[in-house]
Amino acid sequence: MTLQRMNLRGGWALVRKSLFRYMAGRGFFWTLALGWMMGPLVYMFVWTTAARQGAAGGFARGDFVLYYLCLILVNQFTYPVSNWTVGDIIRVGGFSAWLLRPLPPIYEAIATDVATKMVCMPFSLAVVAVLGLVLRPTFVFSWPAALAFVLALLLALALRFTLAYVLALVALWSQRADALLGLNDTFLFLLGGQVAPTALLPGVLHGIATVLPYRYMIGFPIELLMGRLSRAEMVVGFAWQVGWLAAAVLLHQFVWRRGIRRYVAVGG
Amino acid sequence: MGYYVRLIRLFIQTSFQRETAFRANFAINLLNTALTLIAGLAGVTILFSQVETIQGWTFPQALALVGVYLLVGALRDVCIGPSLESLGGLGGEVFGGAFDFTLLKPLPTQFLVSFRSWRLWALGDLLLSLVVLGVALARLGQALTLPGLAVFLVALLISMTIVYAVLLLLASGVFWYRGVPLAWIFDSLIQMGRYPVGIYPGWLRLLLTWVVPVGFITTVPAQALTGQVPALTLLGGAALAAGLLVLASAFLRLSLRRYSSASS
Repeated sequence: MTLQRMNLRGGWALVRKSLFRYMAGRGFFWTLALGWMMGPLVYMFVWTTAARQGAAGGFARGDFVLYYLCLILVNQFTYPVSNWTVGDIIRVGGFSAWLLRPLPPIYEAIATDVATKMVCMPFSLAVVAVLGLVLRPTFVFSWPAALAFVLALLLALALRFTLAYVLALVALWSQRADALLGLNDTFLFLLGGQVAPTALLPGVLHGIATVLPYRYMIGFPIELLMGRLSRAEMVVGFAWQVGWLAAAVLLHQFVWRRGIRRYVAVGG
Repeated sequence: MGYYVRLIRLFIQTSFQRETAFRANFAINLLNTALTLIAGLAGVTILFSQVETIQGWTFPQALALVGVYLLVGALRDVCIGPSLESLGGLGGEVFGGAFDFTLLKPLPTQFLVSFRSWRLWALGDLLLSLVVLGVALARLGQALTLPGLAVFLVALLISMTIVYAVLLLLASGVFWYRGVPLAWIFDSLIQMGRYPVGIYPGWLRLLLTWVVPVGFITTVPAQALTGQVPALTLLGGAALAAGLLVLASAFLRLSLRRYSSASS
């Protein structure tokens, strides 16, 4: 019990440490955030142009605008920056310092993520608000959809972070995890709902996207918010999301126990 | 002139030696090439599974645009990208002070910072982009004539000049704000060039043609290859490229005056 409370306080201290450091360099982080929203913006314009020639897959122009504006925010909210930093820190040996702290190293990763989100989110929200005024999305608000969205968003955050963290830990064996993380990002781009809402993916890809974890990291919460899923699809979606999260957590326990024994500090 | 050509040959040799020292990187680079290709092709394929044409662009034409996008990226990665990127960022020359040695060399600084690093594995990307272009042309059922090829090469030259000028502008920005993630900004903006500029709304299209000239970087060369590109567009592009080049060189000279070394 006391241990738990101490950990929370320690964790918050780590968040504050990172937050103050990042706030000092917020120009840099806002540049990063701008880069993260560029992909969704390109695909928003592509699909709205397609929709102007006739509705594509049941999405009208305003639907695409709403989908991609939400995607910018959901992507920013769930984006695990720590997947890159953890891999790097293991490679250059800074991980030793993390291990010496009276907190599990995952706290450092979480703190990096929380602080980055706190620095970037206001910027992304402001940009999306301006874009929303200019591009006028079609939006119908309903409480059940909003609640389902919040729940799915939190699960998406946990799932995306855990999987990225596990992949970064692979650096404990191979020094470098960049290749795996790049592969992960490409899958997210194709099957997570970024290149197109997963409902618009052709045949086989659509089937694959429903089964793999990537849709449940970005696309699924937005589909819920827009009320595009039937009740059955919602239940199945949540089941996949929770299932993948459980699998990722188990995988993390396994990789962490094995990996930490393999860790060889590099540098001095 | 011959002296500079000899120097470039030397730069290529030393870069090759440095690169081959890290063999494990080779596999990672190969994977990255494959992923860029897959992402580029998938974007277009998925779009055209829903529509027949977009703003008058057919699937093979859009494929040619993807080819140009990859080609421009590969050409940048062969030389000017890695050369200019070593200036900026954390651990870059300006941040660490190693730029002292670059300044001291008895060569024009702009020449040295622009051509000193070569990334030869990018030639693989280059080859792949040419394959994509070839497939696109075959699907268009269009024979490549000599004048057509000449127009394409002119458009590509304009495109690469603009890329170089923009990268040089961003690289010079490092002297004003050291943490600027140069490659990141450029990569973010150029993403807009994956699709014809015609799909963007009017205000953005103007911005992408004249201010952040992504249109001249990818759309115009693709148009030159697949159909007609008005002579006036090419002239405008050439003027813009020349203007940007002069501006970027002047800005580099101005920025160099701000350099005050680092540490001792």
